[in-house]
Amino acid sequence: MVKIKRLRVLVSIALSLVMVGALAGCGTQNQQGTKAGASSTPTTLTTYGLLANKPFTGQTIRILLPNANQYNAIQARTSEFTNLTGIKVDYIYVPYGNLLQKITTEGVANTGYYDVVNYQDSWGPSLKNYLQPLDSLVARDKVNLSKYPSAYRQGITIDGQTYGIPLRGHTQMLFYRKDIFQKLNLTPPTTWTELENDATTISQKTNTNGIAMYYGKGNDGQNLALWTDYLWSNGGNIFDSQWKPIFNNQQGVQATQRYVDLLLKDKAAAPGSVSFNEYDAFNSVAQGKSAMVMGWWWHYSDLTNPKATAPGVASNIGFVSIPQWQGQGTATYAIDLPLGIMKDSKHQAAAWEYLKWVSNPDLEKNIVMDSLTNTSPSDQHDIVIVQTPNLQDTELNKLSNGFYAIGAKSLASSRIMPQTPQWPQVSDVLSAAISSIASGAPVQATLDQAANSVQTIMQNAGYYK
Amino acid sequence: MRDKYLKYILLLPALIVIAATSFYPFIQSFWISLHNWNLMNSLTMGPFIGLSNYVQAFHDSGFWNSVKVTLIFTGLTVVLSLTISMAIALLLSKNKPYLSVIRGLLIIPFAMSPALIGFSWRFMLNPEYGLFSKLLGAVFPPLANVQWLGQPTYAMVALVSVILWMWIPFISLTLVSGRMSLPGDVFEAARVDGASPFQTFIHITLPLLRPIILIAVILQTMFALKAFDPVVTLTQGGPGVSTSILNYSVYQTAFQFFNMGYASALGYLLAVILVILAAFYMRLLVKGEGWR
Amino acid sequence: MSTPAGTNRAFKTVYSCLEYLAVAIIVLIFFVPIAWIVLTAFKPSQDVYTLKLFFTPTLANFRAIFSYPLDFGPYLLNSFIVTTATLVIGIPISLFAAYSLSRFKIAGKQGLLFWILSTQFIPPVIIALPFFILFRNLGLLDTRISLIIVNLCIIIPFAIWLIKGFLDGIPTDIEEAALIDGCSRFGVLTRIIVALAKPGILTATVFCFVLSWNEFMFPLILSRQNATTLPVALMLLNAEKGVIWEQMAAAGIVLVIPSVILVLLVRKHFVQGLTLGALD
Repeated sequence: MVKIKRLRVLVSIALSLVMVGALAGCGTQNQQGTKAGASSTPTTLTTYGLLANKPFTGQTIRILLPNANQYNAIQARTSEFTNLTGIKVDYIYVPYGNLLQKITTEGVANTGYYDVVNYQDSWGPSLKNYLQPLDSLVARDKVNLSKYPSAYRQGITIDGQTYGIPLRGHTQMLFYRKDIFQKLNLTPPTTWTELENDATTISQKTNTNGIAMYYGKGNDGQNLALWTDYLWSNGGNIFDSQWKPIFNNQQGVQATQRYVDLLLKDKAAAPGSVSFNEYDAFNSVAQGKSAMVMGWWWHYSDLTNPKATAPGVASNIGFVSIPQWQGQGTATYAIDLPLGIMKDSKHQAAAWEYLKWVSNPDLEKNIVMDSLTNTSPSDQHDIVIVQTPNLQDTELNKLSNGFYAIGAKSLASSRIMPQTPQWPQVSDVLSAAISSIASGAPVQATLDQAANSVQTIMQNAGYYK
Repeated sequence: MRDKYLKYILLLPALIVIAATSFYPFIQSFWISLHNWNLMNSLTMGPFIGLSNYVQAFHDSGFWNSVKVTLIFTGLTVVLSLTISMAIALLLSKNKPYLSVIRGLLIIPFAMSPALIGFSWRFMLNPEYGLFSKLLGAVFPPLANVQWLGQPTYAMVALVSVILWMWIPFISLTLVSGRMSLPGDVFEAARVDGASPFQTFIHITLPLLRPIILIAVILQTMFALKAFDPVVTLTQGGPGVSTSILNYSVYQTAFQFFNMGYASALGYLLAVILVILAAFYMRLLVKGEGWR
Repeated sequence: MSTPAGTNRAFKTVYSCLEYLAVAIIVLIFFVPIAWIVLTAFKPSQDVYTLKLFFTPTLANFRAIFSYPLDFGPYLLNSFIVTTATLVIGIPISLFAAYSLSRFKIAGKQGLLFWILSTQFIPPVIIALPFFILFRNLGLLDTRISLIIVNLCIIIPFAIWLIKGFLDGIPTDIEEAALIDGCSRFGVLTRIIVALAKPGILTATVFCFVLSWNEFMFPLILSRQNATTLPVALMLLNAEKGVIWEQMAAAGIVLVIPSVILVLLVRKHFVQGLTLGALD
């Protein structure tokens, strides 16, 4: 209590100082404004769509985010925003695994401590009570959301309303060891069958595992990412249009069987895959133990980093799209991490200014350019791009050997997980089922049982009235 | 006499703190368990639904699985911990200088953070670069290709081993100190009477150590039931739900699915099991008058 | 029994060899993992995923956790403040209660003891939510005070239990003599008992230090940033890219050093404190 009082005193002293300063120092401030920004500031303001005259000067907004190099890079460039708007930004990081819990407990606490939160799109329906719909602001400032791929746009839309602006987003790719493929005269797979053949050949002819998979439970359902690639490309789905689980139908069972057979039948996957999480699997390739891995594209910067990989790996990493189910095409999972504004925030207008600034295409491009050309510190290196014009940018594609063109192609056919507030529970059931199946449980029976559990969850949530 | 008041005055602060920090929230969460409250839907508690959450729990196969897993986990931990600790205690309770050094150092694992140990175990059990997998494979070749976290049985073994590693040193040191403070003449007499070491152990050591063993059992049970960080950091309840102990599934229901009403009900059922266990132990203790 | 002396001696040699072997195995099991964590903490990142025993040691991992952006310094400070305050408040309170329970006739003492201990059988996770709501209403979320309060709930029952066990083992004649000499009960408690029961109190303090220092779930739920303690900060190293082992190991060493030092300092009394009361 004493502390709070002292804080209040401090705040009021600070406020009065600011006011005195504002009155006394009007002249100097104006001078500075004209000196520094006569030509550049107004144009930048309008290109970013920011409000003129710094209406929120002196406000500080607090942002909750998980750790990522991209965010370090944004934080390092935030002085531009503060100069333009007078708004200060406080970045607070939490481990990714605690993020959902943190946002929800903050929402419950209803104290307005955080103004902006970075969340995963699949949590949107569970969090929408705590987030501020942005449609009126988007309309007012004519913010162009069509610059985002459709999967990301779906991710920020819940029941027809917009709750976030995509900041970080991932599509999946298949990474492979070019040297091993060359030595065995293999071509990168385009279908699941080719993938199985390539992986089996590598496992048999070299002492490297053909592919590293991740069937392990947990980490917010990481083992579902590739499973849905199999499921969807086989024409299956998790729910039908009535929210009845159908992942245990014929397509579902066939897809699941094929997904785990890489490990169980073909013996082409690293044996550890049964308990790996995504990171373990990528590390297996980074350490030279496996020749292929599928997953989020951002891993590319780690796989090609000589310091984080075993000798000979970094310079030999190739990438292609996720394979398709022969004759049925492809449908991969994409994920995005939008920024949303908390409903209880007391600085919503300032927070919206930040969202407009942080989603400007130049910032995104500059961060990646600086990484690719190695001009920023290594903890700011990231390759993530979420805006279509940047994905198609010739300069970026030239520097990255067409990486973003492939990303854009995958994103065109990408889907997102079902949007329901029950998703965390459903995903836990599915994640447990997949991990059981990978450790030897029968496919049909396990999926049937999971479908029963999912049906109960949806029933209790009032889905089948 | 002033003592009459003093004894209550001395007790009071502790009782107030315990009541405020344990019983207030305990009662509060019982109240929550009688309501339908999903944090995702509302900031305030939903409608009163009586015992529905409890009824739902009894029909929830996940709950029964967790009860089963919890009992297996706790049972295994307590039995293994006590047996191994007793063997270690017998080995270390001799008056030799090098043993005294080892006894001094053996307390270190107890001071380690469970979260750190969980993470480290995951690192060391990795089949591709983990120290444990490689060592175990080298010492016992049949174990070379075991996926420690990939099969329900092995994953349970791995999880139990975290708790054992942290608590066996502590428990065995407790037993060592108990064993060493037993009067030497009893053992001398037994030796003179021609009792074998085994007979001595069964008929003299065990009965004399009974109160300490009981305390060790209570401590070990409590800490096995409280295990949370190692599950989060090591298995996350997998593979499947084979290591999803109740403490973890209550946490999931509350802080991942935000179903507060239901989570409180599950937690309450867990608490009931635990308090029954506690009562059972306390009776044993009181009967043995180990704790006056 | 007429066993030839030679066989007997051979048997004894074999037996003591086996004994050495068993002790060696125990030491290996309990210290190899610690040694491995220590080695990992000093490894450069490219050697972390190898079983190398010889490498060029580096302090980079320690530097990394104490510099931007991880900045573990404030978390370490929080851990110290929270744990110290918890002990400073909790141990005297527990000593008083333990003394009262050990020396006086109290109606329903068995029930009371059971009640105190049974709080430790309540799953902490179900206590967490009401606390969260309570602290929200009081404006105490993310303060060290809130963590001190919940840590008291964890340590006091144990401290009472441990100290009472120890006090039970101390004969009452010195106290009685002092009382006859005109010393007050409270004076007896603060002067004589504290001196006599020092090992027991130290034991309880260290035991509670370890519990409070390593507490994970409550700070995870009740702190945001300002009050975050070191064990929770450990989770920061479980990033999007997975666990950064070498830094986790370095942070882990920083985390365990204080409790290891304390435990080693009181090791002689440590376990005795637990058993004395129970045995005699």
